Amino acid sequence: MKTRRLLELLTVLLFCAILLYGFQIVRLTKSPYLPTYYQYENLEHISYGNDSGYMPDIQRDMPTNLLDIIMSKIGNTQLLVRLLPPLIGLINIMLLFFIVSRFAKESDTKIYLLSVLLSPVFLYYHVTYNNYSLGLTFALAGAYLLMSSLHLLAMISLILSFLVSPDSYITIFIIIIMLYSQYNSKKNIIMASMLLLLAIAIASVSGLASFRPPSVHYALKTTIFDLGALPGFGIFHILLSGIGIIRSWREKEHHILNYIIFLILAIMASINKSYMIYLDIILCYFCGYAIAYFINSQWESSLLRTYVTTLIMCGILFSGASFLTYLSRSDPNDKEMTGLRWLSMQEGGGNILTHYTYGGLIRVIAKKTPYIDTNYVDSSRDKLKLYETNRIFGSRDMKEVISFLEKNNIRYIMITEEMKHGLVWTKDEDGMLLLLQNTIRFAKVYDYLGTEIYLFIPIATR
Amino acid sequence: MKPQHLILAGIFLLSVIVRTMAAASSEYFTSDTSYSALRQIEHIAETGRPLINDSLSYGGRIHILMPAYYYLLSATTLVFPGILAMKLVANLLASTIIIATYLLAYKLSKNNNVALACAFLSSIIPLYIAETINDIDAIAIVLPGSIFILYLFLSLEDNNRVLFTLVPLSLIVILTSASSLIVLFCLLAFIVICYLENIPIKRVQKEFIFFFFFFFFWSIFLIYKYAFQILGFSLIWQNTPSAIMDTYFKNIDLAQSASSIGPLLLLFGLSTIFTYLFRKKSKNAYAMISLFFISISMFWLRLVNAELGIVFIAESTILLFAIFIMDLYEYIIKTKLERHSVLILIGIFLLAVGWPLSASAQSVLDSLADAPTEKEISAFVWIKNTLPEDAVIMSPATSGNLITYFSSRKNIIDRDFLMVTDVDRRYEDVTKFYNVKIKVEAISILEKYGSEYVIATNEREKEIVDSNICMIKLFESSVNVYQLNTSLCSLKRI
Repeated sequence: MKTRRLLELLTVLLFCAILLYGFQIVRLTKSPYLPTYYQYENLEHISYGNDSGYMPDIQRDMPTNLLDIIMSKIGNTQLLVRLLPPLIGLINIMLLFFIVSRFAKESDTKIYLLSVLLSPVFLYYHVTYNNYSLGLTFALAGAYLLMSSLHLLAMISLILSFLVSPDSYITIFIIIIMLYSQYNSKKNIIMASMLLLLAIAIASVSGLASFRPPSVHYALKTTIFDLGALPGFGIFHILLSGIGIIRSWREKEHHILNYIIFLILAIMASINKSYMIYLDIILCYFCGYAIAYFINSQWESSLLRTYVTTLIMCGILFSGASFLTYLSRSDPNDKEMTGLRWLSMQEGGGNILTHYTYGGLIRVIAKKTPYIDTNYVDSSRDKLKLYETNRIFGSRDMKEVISFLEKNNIRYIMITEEMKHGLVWTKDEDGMLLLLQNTIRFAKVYDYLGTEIYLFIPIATR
Repeated sequence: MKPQHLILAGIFLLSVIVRTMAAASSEYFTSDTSYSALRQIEHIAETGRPLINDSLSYGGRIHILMPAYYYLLSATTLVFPGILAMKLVANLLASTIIIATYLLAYKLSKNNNVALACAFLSSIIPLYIAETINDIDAIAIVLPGSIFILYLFLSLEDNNRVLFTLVPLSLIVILTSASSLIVLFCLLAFIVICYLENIPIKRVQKEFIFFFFFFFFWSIFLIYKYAFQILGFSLIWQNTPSAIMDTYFKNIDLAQSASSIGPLLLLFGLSTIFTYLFRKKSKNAYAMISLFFISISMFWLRLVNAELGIVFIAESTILLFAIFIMDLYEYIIKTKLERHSVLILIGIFLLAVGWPLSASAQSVLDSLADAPTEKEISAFVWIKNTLPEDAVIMSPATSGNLITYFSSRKNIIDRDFLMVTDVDRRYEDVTKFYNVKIKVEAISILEKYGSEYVIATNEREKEIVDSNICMIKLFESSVNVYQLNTSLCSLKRI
C-alpha cells in the first residue's frame, strides 16, 4: 500500500517537474530574458541586498524579505531564479500531497493535485522568482507538522513563513486556527476566531476611506488570467469551484471553516495580490471537489458523463497550457533590452522617465534610476508619483512638463512601442509625445526597433 | 407514408420552392452583411480556414466568429458552386423550422392537425422570412436547431437514445452562433420552473443541461476571450457603435414584435402562459413558457440582436398556440358546441394565420426590393477594375462589405463592428463626412484614414459630396465614385 502511495507521489512530482522545468527550457529557447518585468523588480531586491554601494542616490522603502537576503549572498542569481521556483513548486506539491492524503480519498487526492498543478496562479508563482511561493512552502510545512503533532517544528516553520512572506500574515493565523479545530471540540471559540479574522479582513478593505469597488470589467480583467490578469485564476477553476461550493453546501457543517477561509482570503486577495497564492489553494480544493463529484456521481447517461468530464478536463488543461504558452512568450523583448543596454553605456546621473512597468529593467539592465517603478506603485499609499507621471505623459503644456523634468532630475525619457500603442498613448501625437517630437529641449538620441530614448537638455547646456 | 407526413412534406417543399424562386429573382443578396459572410465562406472553401486577418475590412482588422455555419455553406459550395446554389441551401436550412415546429408541436399537443397548423405558421414568420429568404444569416440554423434541441430534450423523458442526435446537434448550434445562449437560459429556466412547481426532472435531462452548459461556456470562452480582453462588456452588443445602439432598439419595440406575429397569436400564447403558471401543470408547457420568457428577457436586455429576439418570441408563441388550441378543443367538446368544434378551431386558425401571412408576403417583397441592383453593383466592380489596389474607399457603413467583396479594396467602416477598438470614432467620422458641407472637415476626415476615394449611394449623399469642390466625380451611376483632388485640396495646402 505504501509503495503504491509512493509511486503515486513520484508520478505527481514527475508531472510537476516536467511542467515547471519544461517551461523554463521552452522559455530559454524563445528568449534569453526572464518572463515578466516583475521578475526584474525582484532581481533588483536581490541586487540591493547584494551590493550596498549600488545606486547610492536611491532613497526609498525597499521591501526586503528573508529569501531576497539569502539570495543576495549567493552568486549567479540569474541561473538561480530560474531553478529555484520550480524546486519550491515540487516541494509544495509534495507537502500538499501529504496534507490532502490525510483527509481525502486516494482518487480525490490526485484530482485535487491536478487542479492545483494546472492552476495559472500556482504555475505563475512557481515558474517566476518571488517570495510568496516559499512563504507557502513554510506555511504548508507548518500545517503538516502541526497535523503530525510536531508543535515546536511547526511554529518555527510558521515563523519562517512570516519572515519570507510578511504581508501574508493572516494565512498563518488561519492555519493555526484550522488545526486547533482538529484537536479541540470548542467550536464556538474557533468560529469566533475565524469571524474575528473575517472582521479584520473586511476592516482592511473598509478602513481605506478611499476604497471604491472597481468596475466589473476591471475586476474581471485583474482577477481572471484568461481575461488578462497576471497572476490570475483560470476561468474554469473559478467556474468549477463555484459548482464545488454549491455541491458541498449539502454538507455545509463540514465545510463551514472552508467557506469562511475562502471568504477571508478572497477579501484579502482583492486588496493584496500576495494572498492569491493561498486563495488558489482553497479555490482548487472546491474545484477538485466539483471534479470529483462529476467523476464519482452516478450518471444516467455514460455518454454525457464522458463528454462532461472530458470538457472539464480540457478546460483545466487548456487553462494551464495557455497560461504557460502566454508566459513563455511574454516580455521583456529584444527591442526593449537593446535600448536598455544602450542606456547602460551612457554616463552621467539623472533619472529615467518611462512607464513604471519598466522600472525594474531600468535598474537591473540599464543600471540607472527610474523615476517610478512597480515597487513604488505596489507599496506607495498616496501613489503621488503615479498620478504625476500620468499627468505629465498626458500633458502638452511645455512649462508644466519642463518644470516637472527639472524638479525630478530627469535626464532620459524612454518610450516603447507598447507605450505608444495603448499602455500610455493611443495616437502618435498624444500628450507629451507631441512635445518630444517638436521641442528643441528634447533630443532623440536613440531610435531602434520601436524603442525611442529622448535626452532632456537642461537650460545651462543649451 | 402517412397523410400528415405528406402534408408536412408538401408545406416544406412549398416553402423551399417559394423561397428559392423569390431569392433567384435577384442576382444579389439583400443585406451587405451577407457579403461579409460570403467572403468567409469563399475563404474557407479556398484555404480550409476562416478569414481571421482581414486586410480589407476597416483597412485591416481581425475577425472573431463562430465558424460552423460558414463551414457548412462552404462545404456545399464545393459540391454546388454559385450564388444560386448557396441561396438554395440557405433556404433549405431555413425551411427546416417547419419540421422542427411540427415535431415539437406534436409533442405538445399530441395532435397531427394542430402540429401541421403550427408548422405552417412557423413557415410564415415575417421577420424570419425577411432575414433568411435572400441572405446568409446564421439564424437559419439557430432557430430550427434550437427548436430541434428542445424537442429532443423533451424526448429524453421517454428515450435516452435521442442523445446520439441531441449532442451533435447541440455542438452545431453552439458553434454556429453565441445566440444559442437563448437555449441554455431556456433549459435553466425550465429547471427553475419545474423546481418551483415541484415537478421532478429526469436525471439524464439535468446531465444534458450540464453538458450543454460546459460546452457552450468552453467554446464561447475559447473563441471570444480575446475579444473580451479588448472590448469588455461591449462584446455582448457586438461592439455596435453607441450612435447605432441608441436608435436601433428604439425602432424595434415589443409592440412591433407583437405585430410581427399577430396580436391574436400573442394573446393565445399569453393565455396559455397564464393557464399553466396558475391553474394547470405540464412539464412540456413549462419548456415553452421558459422559451417565451427567455426570448423576451434577452430581447429586452439587448443580449441578442433584435431580429433574433423577435423571431424566437414569435416561434415560442406559435408553440404555445399548439397547447392553447388543444386545451380549447378539450374544453369545447365538453360543451354544447361540440358539433362545431372543428369549424371553430379552423376559424381560429384562419384568424390567427391572416396577419402573419400578409405580413410575410410583404416581407418577401421588401426583402427583394432592398437587394442591390446590377447598376449599383457596377460601381463597385468599376472600382475594382480601375482604382489602385491599395486605395481606401470612404463609404457609409452599409456599403462597406460591398466594397470589400465586389471591389476588393479597403473600406473605412462596415457593419461587422466586433474587434474594432475605435468603432465609435470611425462611425462618427463617417456620419460627419456625409453630413457636413464644410470642405476642411471632410478633407481632414479623409486624410485621417488615408482615403482619396469616396462613394455616394443615395441622393442626399450625392448632394453633399457634389457640393464639395475638392471632389472629382470619376463614375456616375446609381452609386457615384469620387476622388479627392489632392493637388488642389490637401489639408496642408488649405
